[in-house]
Amino acid sequence: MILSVKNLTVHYGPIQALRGVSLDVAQGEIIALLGANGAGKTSTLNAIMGLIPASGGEIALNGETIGGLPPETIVRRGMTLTPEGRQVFSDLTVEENLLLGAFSKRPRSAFAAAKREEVLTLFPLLRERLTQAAGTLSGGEQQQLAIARSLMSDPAVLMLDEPSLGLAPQIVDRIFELIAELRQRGLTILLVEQNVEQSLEIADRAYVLANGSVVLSGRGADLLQTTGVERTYLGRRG
Amino acid sequence: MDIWIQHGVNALSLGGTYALLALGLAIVWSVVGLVNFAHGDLMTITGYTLYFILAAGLGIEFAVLAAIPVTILAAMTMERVAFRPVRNTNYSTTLLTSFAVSAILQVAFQNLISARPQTIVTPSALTRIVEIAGIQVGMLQITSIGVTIVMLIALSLFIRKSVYGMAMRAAAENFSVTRLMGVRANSVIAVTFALSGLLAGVAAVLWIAQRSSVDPLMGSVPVLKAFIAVVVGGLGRLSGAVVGGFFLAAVEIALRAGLPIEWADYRDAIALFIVIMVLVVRPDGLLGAGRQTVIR
Repeated sequence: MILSVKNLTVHYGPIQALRGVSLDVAQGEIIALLGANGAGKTSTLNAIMGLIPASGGEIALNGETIGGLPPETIVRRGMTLTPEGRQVFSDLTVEENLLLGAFSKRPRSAFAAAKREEVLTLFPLLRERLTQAAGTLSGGEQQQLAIARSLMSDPAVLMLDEPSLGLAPQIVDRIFELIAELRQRGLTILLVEQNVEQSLEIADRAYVLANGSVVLSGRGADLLQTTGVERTYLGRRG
Repeated sequence: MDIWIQHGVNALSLGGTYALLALGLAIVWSVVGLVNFAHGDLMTITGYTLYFILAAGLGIEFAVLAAIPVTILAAMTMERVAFRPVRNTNYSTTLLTSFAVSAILQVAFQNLISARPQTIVTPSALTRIVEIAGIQVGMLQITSIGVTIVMLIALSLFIRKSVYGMAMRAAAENFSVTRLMGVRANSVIAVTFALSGLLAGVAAVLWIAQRSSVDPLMGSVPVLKAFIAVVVGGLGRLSGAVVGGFFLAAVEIALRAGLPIEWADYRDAIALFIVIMVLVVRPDGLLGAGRQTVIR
């Protein structure tokens, strides 16, 4: 397992957000993490990434424990997160956003220059926008920039937090195509989504969270056929 | 006519010093979210370093070259010792910590050095009056304007072009996502405090050259002025700190020059009243960025 999480718990003050989440991600897989609002999806990713402290549990990347490490160290170990709501640096140019993505690499500028070309081939649209402030991009462009920026650190594992949130349907399709393409390039992906059907279509396996616990897991295709998954656990009217 | 040009030169010179101080406060505020009221005491540290090096018989050039790195180191030590332990608490805790640091330093200066002012002789080369295009101006004012310009250009280049400047701009916008880029929180904060120390050190040298002495409370007035400059210029925007610094100095010099002598006691009150009026009209300051923090 490239990423393995055991019994992860997170507390926000007296409130328990995660009640012992366990999940495994194998090399080259796309794993979907599904659930309704407030089920604990973002908390899971943020705790794995060291952005919020976990109150218990174990997290291992490539067999080495990373629990308690700060995000800047975890990035250096080969895992990163594209956060919810894109969160590009709106005052910085597209180029500067990309460059910062390679901050931890050495030699920094040579690495960034080479990686930038690779990333711009994947996201040709960004090439025309390099000198623009990231805040002036459209939502879909910002999402592409956010993913491109994450790729600049050359991660082995990429966690994506609701990349389709608030985007127009055609752009959502494009984002899912990109995720599939990234996997073909050897990336391992942990995907948090509310877009259940499309996620299950590209995912190898999926975990369904409710109230901070894993309530269901299995192969994407199987879950897709399980009737009532959406209605029961994802807070939607089927 | 000449007298007004001289007032203008004085305003630019004083405004430059305020601007450098205000920038130091504003940079730390933007990146760390802390109003460092001990920033003025960094100036006092510069002052005492100058004093002791000169007392040891070394030259003023050496004293200045040594005092500024000492101030940078002091700023970084302040962060490491006092602010890092309270980093992830809240706004009021860090603010109170900065007041505590300031109080501790001032008491330490009083008890370990002296409560009375110590003289630092301003070199005669700086106290001369020179004539430029038929107008008499102080060498010190000209030097101070020159130093401010160099500092502003250097700082702007650092923040816009260097990778750490970029990381600081990113951190001002969104600290945790900046860490996701692999930027170490400790490093970007250390660089931020180092810059604020550099700015305080340079401002202190200019300030002390003007008054030729150092005392334990020397930093308290300038840090308040700098804080007013930051607020009136627009909190969370570096250009606001610069504009606010020059604005405050212009108001002060105009009042000093234009106000009848019997009104002199009300000078600060009137200056602050003008500042309040600015904030009534523009609550986010002259270049206000609203609630967003941005390094620009």
